Amino acid sequence: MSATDHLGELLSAYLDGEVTTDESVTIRGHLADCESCRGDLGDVMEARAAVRALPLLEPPAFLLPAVEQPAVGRWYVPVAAAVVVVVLAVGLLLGRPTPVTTDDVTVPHTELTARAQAMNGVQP
Amino acid sequence: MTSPDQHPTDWEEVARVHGRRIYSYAYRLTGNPDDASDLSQEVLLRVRKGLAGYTPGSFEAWLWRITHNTFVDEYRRRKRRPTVPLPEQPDRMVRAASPPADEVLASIRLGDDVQKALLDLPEDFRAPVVMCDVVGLSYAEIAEALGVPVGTVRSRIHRGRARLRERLG
Repeated sequence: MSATDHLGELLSAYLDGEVTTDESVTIRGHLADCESCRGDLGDVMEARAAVRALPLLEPPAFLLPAVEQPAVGRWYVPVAAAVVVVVLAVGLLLGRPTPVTTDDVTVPHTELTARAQAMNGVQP
Repeated sequence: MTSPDQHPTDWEEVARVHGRRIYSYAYRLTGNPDDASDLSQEVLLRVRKGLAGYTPGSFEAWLWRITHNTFVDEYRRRKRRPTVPLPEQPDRMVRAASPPADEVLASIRLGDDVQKALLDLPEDFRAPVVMCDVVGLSYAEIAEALGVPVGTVRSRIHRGRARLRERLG
């Protein structure tokens, strides 16, 4: 870039940090001496700031279900979890060994009689 | 930005992480909420199809190439007349602070003026300006997304901004 050239499109690149260190030094030196380029710099700075001030827009909900309904918040997750719990519970109940109760400990009546008589010293 | 090694693995993650920027890009280019929704939906469909064959690289460039190609393919093909943009409702804005009401109204009016000025730009200028100043891409990423040299990006962004400044007065 010669001393008489104006900066032109380098101004936007300079604002955006898209110039090399050497270019940046040259640009600053030129701006110090060139009122026209300082004016151009102000213009593109204003336009750049105006566009950058535009807000990001929220997309319609139907477009981004993952945003509106994160995976962990979907209705079927707790339902599916409840179903799994019920299935596991039923499976455990059906699959476990039959509980042992006192009713299950059966001793033949004749044996009981023999034990009682033995304890009392009575011969059968 | 997503590094080359940390690209999303499913389209829902892309929607969650990049959805606002995709929709905002589409809206700023079309000035039409219906077209912006249609374009965003098509982008996500293409992302879902493309992710299976995605090879690690610049995910940003890949995503925005898809986004821009979708705009080129779909929007130009069934182009609707750009409508006067709807006033941007404060409750739809992501940057939801709580400024005074008069400041909100002033910013909405200013935003409408800027949107109209953007729509008056030739598409070749509008796309790189929006990619740079709305989406936040680097010149290299814009160049890859648009399929043009970085020097062309630099020129178009500068000329686009110069025209915007003239339009905004």
